Amino acid sequence: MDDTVDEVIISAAATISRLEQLIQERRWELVLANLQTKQGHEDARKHNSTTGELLYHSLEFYYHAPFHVIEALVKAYPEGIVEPMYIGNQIRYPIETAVSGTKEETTNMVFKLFVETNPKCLDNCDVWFLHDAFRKCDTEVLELMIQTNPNFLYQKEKDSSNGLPIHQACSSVMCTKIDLLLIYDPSQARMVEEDSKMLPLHLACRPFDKDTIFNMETFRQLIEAYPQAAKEKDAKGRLPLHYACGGASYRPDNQNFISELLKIYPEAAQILDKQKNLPLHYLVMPKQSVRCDYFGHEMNWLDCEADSVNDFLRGNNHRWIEKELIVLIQTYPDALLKSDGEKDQLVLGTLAKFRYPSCQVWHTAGSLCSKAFICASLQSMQPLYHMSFDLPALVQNFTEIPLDWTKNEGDMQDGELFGIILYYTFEALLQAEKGLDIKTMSNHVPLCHHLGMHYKSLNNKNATGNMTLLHKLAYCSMFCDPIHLMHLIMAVELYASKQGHHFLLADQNGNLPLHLV
Amino acid sequence: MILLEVYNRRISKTTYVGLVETFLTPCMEAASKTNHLGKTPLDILMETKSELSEFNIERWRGVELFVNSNPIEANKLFTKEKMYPFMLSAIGEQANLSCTFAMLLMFVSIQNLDDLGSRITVKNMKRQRVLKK
Repeated sequence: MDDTVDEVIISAAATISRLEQLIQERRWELVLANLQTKQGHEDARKHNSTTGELLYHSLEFYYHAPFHVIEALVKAYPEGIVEPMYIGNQIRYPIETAVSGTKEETTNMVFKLFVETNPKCLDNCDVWFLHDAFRKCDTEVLELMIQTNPNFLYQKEKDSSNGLPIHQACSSVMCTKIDLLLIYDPSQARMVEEDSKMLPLHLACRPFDKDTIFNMETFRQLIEAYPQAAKEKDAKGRLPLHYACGGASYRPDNQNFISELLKIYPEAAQILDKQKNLPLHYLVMPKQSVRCDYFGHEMNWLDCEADSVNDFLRGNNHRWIEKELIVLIQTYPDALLKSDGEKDQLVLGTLAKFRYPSCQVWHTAGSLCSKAFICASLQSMQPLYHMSFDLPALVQNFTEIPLDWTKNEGDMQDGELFGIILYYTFEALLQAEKGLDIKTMSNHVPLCHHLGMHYKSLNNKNATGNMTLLHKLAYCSMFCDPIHLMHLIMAVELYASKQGHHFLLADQNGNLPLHLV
Repeated sequence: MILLEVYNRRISKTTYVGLVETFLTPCMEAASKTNHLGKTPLDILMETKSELSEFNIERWRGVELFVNSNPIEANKLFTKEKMYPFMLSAIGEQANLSCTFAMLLMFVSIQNLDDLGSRITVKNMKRQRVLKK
């Protein structure tokens, strides 16, 4: 083993030790050998000839040196771990430099090495460092941090909106860390993030990344630690349910969030946030959905992903939110009568626009709130309006309105969706009896002016007796999009060619379809 | 701008009269059928819009379609004013002269002109007698 003292002259003003030279040349095996010598031990204690830093404070050393070399440095000079470095008014400790400088794969090992060598190395560290280590390192490191200096769990970084560690863990889906934090102190579940007034449960519900799955067991523990969180509003007036709904289509693997939250607080389905949105609006209208970036800052993600979301609503993955839609509608059916606060859109109008292909959802809406099928806002038309181009397909494929409540699987037949919507529109008109019942609808949802017309009373509660599909079509035709009149004409002509006698077929009140237009 | 005009034109053409035309064309006969309350489709239209001011050009075109399909309607009295369709379409803010003439033609076409003439003659004779007295 080379135990000689070598000093190399690099300039007239400064000389460097052999250890420094080997580190500069990144000859790590020789550095390791050197650190195991008496001279190496002495060199490790020396300040750098140029920068005046101890080797412990060299960011570059940590970035390039393999772990076993760092380990050798610690063995050679363990006292150096607590040696501070002064940069102007700032004090920096070796562990701070080490965690900042080491590569991802060695950060955890270096942290553990330092703390196990001298647990006091964390005593004077800045909060930002402890939070940074919390984010970067694994749960073993977190355990060490909690054992040695748990105060950082309750300290906020200066001039940062990151919140406490529990908030960061919930925002960034660090489930094992959340578990550990809650085991140490369950009361962390009640800690409000200062600026946003969000609780950890809010943050857990807010989507972060579509590829990350929030562990349901962790989610339940979070609720168990503070069930009241499901009822608490943040600065935007939102409950955790608003966020869970907003993230449902983005993070489909965490659909159970919604049912878990509704179990504790079903009234949440009725709560409007400050933007006058219900949780259902966030589920169906992803434009309003929000997620957070890595630092927990809210961002509107649909601006860049609008097409994929629309495709999702129309496409095969519609079942992602089907169960949640049904649960939310069942919990608060009148939500279908309320338009959202931002775009004045109604839920069924939006679903119809995307031709949302789930029989179960439409049947749930129709059976619990058929009124919503004749309800419009200034910006949102009745569902039938958006489906007008499907009319010929209905007449082509069906002789009566298709109503298979039990259908759970398989694609809908062409025109089937129009038929279901037509059925409930007709039912709603019958129930309204004397004109469209504006009074019972939300004031926020006026009927669209040119459709707010009188309609003809059928004068009989058993009016559906001899009703044909043509009667229903005639009765509800006022809701079809006038732009698509051609489709209506095509459908009626097709109907005439298939079942022309229906034009002269009277219902129980003697009304022909023409009486009902 | 052009698109908007096209849109507006199509809307106005299609809202009501378009629907009537759609359901009437395959079976014109339906216009003359009554329901159990004895009402034809035109009766229902006239009842639904009880005030003349509620009639716009769209509605008058609907009336015209029903009357063309069932000319007898031109000879029926409607609304609380108890007037023939051609009279109704000639008065009020929403008066429609085109419809008035069309309805009048239909009205005249179904009158027994000889009978109409004799009634007018009789009335004139009565008036002359009164004047002589």
